[in-house]
Amino acid sequence: MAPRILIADDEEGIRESLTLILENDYTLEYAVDGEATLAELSSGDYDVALVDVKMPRMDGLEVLKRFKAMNIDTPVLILTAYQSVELAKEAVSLGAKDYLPKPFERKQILDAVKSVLKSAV
Amino acid sequence: MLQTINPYSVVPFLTSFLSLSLGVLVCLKWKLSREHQLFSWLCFALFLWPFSLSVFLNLTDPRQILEWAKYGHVTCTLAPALYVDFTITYLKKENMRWASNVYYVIAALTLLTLLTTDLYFPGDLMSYPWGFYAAPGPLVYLDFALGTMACLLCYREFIIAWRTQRTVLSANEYNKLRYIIIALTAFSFAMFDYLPKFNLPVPPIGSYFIGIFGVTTAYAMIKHQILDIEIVLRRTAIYSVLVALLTAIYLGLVLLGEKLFQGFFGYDSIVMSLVVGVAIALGFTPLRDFVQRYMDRFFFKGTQAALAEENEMLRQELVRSEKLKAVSTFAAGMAHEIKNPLAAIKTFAEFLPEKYDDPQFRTKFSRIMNDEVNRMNGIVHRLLEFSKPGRPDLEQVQISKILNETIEFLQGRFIERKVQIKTQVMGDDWVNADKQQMKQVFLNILLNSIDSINDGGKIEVRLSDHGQELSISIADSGSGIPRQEVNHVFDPFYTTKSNGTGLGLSVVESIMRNHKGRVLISSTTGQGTTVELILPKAIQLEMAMTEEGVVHGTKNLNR
Repeated sequence: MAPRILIADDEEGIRESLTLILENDYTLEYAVDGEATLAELSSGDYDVALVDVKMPRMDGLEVLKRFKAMNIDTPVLILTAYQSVELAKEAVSLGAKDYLPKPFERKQILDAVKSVLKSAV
Repeated sequence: MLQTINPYSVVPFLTSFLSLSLGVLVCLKWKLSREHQLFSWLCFALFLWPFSLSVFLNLTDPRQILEWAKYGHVTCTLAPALYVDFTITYLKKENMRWASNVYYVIAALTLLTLLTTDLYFPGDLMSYPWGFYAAPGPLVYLDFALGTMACLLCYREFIIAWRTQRTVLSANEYNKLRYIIIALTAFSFAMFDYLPKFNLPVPPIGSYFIGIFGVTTAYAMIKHQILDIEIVLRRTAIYSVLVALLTAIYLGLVLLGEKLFQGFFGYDSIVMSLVVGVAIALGFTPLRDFVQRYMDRFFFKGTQAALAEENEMLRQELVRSEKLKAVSTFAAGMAHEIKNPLAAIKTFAEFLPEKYDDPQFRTKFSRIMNDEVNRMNGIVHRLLEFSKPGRPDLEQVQISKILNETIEFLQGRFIERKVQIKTQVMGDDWVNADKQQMKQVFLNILLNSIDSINDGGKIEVRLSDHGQELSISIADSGSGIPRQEVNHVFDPFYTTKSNGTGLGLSVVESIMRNHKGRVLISSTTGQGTTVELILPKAIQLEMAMTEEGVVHGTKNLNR
């Protein structure tokens, strides 16, 4: 069975782009805001989650914080258009496995997902 | 009487007066910062030594000489601690705070010993051609060593700061640092005055260095506004001193002339005195003008016009810098917004060759490309709007929407600075406003709030309906603004931030005024600041404008 990935981004363009990159190898689900992301991750069984930083209702970092507090161990990859070292550090300190800047490369996304899945095994 | 004054005591007396004046001048800005407080204390400490020197060089009674030597030595016990504290505070070297604490403890102990025992000056006198000195006890050597160490330590820190910061400092900060280094270096050389105490026949030249310290500081205050001494105060102060000095000379000349003519003619003539007075006054005016012109050239680089020109250049530089800051914030927000559509366009373009034959992909491609290009076009349009100056382009808008857009725009900053933001909207929030200008208002206020929060804090935004008016209150948990400064925050170029230019709130105030609204600000140091924006609600604005005149109102509403 293909690993399940949650794509959490409020931008349709980004969700569609990630779908193009990942749809062949993985089962994909979507969330369009922070609260929906949290709900999906706490109820569904995901192998990895790609979470955007800037989302309505709850930003990606807040999702990470809540996620950590709830002791859920789904690996999270943070996506963002902000190029800030502080933000990257903050995301990693909150438990994110990696930090992927936008605009991303197809290979970059595939490699990051593979590497997270590999380390989870 | 003049013959009895020791000429060696004149310079110390003048420098003590200069230090005292500087201390008082900086003291007027006491509440601005700890930096100001310490500098003013340092000036007061530097007043004591040259003053006591100017006194005891004129004394012959051993008891009195010892007494004044003690008073003068207070400078030697206090100045090193104040110098170290000032350096640490000015350069924000909090990791070295221990050093000033150690110096303060030593200063307290030595001061107590100095004033209550004879360990500093056991009672012997030393004679030099320029006067008598109290012979030092062993503790004077200790103070000398501590003073030298303090000077070296502070000098080292200032030189490191100079080397590392000079390329990144603003012109104002750069000049400030440069003059403070020159002034404090000169002040360190005041240690020369220890030499006669150690049996070395060196005349009291330390006071000259304190004089250089004073003159450099005074010059930098006048020329470069170091320690925030305002130009009006400085110019007035200088002219007051000048007028007082010249009036004293004038009166002296009149009295001298009167005496001379009385002796010459042998009778007491009011008419003659008046003639002398008028004659001197006539010659005196060109002299005063000459001195004033010289003062202007020396201190203010030319005439009033040159000064105005210099101020204008400075103002333009600040305006440019404020614009750059606003543009850089805007550019950061724009970069974020552009990267999202770019990411989508990039990925779809990358898949185009391999998925070209897939009709479903082609449909999606066409839709996504169109949406993202439109979005980027919108961003460019907004950039153009942002750069367009002018009167408000009023339209009926929901203010909470503009506010939320601005908050979203600053999301990256909030996350970076760990700032939590909460918004609460109560009631109707429709107003007649210029969308872009209101965004600018929120942006400036929120940026100030973010800057005032050091690491983690919150901002609460509340929109409330007050019948005819709408209130938007933005409260932060930042460092706050001292009470005496709150009244100045809307003044152009007034800033409490080291890298601020002081135009942000002035722009806010001007935009709000153009919207027939107002801004209120309240702040408590250490607790935070609340900015309240009051705008007439849509219908009220129309009425207010109609009352002012149909033409004006219509023009504004229809633009």
